[in-house]
Amino acid sequence: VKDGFPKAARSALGNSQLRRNLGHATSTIRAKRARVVAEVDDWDALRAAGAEIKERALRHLDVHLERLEESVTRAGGTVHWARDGAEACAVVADVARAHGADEVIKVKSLATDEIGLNEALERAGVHAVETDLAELIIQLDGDSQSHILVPAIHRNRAEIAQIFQRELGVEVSDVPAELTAAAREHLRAKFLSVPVGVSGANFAVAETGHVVVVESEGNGRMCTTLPEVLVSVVGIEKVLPRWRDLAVMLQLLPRSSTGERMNPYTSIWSGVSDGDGPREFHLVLLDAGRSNVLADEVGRAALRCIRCSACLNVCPVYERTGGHAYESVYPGPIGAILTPQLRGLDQAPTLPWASSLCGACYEVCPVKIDIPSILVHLRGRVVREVGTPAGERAAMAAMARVFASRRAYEAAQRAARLGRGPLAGAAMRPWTRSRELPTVPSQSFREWWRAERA
Amino acid sequence: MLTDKMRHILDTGADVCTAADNSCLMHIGGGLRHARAGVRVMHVAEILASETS
Repeated sequence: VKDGFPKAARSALGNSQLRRNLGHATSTIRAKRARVVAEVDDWDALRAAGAEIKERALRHLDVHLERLEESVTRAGGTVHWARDGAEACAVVADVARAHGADEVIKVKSLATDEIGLNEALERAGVHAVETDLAELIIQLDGDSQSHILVPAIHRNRAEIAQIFQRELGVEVSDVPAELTAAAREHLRAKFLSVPVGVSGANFAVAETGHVVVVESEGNGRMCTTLPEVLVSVVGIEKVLPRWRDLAVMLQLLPRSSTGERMNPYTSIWSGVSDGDGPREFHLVLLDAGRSNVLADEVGRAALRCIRCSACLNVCPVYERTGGHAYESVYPGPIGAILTPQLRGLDQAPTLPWASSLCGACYEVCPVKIDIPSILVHLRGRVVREVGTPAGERAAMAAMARVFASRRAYEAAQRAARLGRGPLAGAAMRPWTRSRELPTVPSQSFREWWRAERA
Repeated sequence: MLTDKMRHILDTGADVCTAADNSCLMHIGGGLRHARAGVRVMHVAEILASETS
């Protein structure tokens, strides 16, 4: 168990530079997304179709995964099944070792960050080079990402220039073109020399064995095409049944994530082919808690997520705390429902409360995940399965008794009018610090109603 | 979030802030009282009831 959201959020809330960076970045992306979504006449029908496709994939996940294995194998790839992160990391390390590589180049990938692949490879004597610009910034700074799509959203360009000067030893100003040129210089040498590429995937198509990576910079395509070997680590929930399902998903994803009609680079490949691209392809299918999420009939909808990050950008809580407060590679509203389910509720019991339940996340979700309902569901599970402080338990039991009968409720109202009763408890101090109970009126609504009707 | 909400409310110059959600009213109303902001919160039902009485 880590610090928990309330504690982890406190330091972020005190950092005014961070809040300015985040406020600026999220409001920019929000406006872009709203503009391009409004252009699509049938956006709601598209969302419904996206939700349906993912639901269908999850309902018969076992069938689709075995079909995917067949298709990839037929196309000349090798499929590995990884029960947990350690198994997946071992596969990647073995492949690197088999090719005598002491370095691998990486496409931005949340799944590999989730399982700590870079650290595991480092222990096996293999250095992983992040090639996504933002991931590179994070890696150079020894920092961790704070947004699904914009990992360095908490940094501004002046801070990034400092990191490049310090870590790459180059003279750069904070002009974006100079910063990207410095990164390009650094990365090109890696693209042309490192023999093993590692990626995640946005989608994997069971019917055809195609793996899909959607990105903006082109660095991902370098990693998936230039090395002689490619390993893709993919969560089992990323499978799509049919090729045509991409038609829906590739419309939903870019508009929801970067606020673009279409992302600059969509790389799609199946297995290996002669004279073009890697000579060897490995697909690692990662469970790491996903089967457990599937067992929860309400919570499982979280597995529909296509990692667009629209929910982060509209969340009033995320906008103020930033991503680090969620202590996971999956921050924001989706992280608040995904992390506790993937790790186990006892490992992240505070996250389901990291929300005001305003519902903005549900409104923008391209696959219609009802995040507020799942948050409430998980709060219930935490209370039942992990437990709550004795004082809160006693107070809630008393409240339940009072609210269960009209007579007890009206008696409590009369007692409250005299300044007594369960609501006057000092056990509520943390709650009353930022809230105030309304003053008890001299006449309750029921009393007024009875008098009005008499 | 409360600080931002209160600033937006004070910027309007209104005397009363209303809402249909009691949790919001307790939260925002508590904040306004603690800050002695001079803005009252009322549930929308209270406003409707005051018209009939």
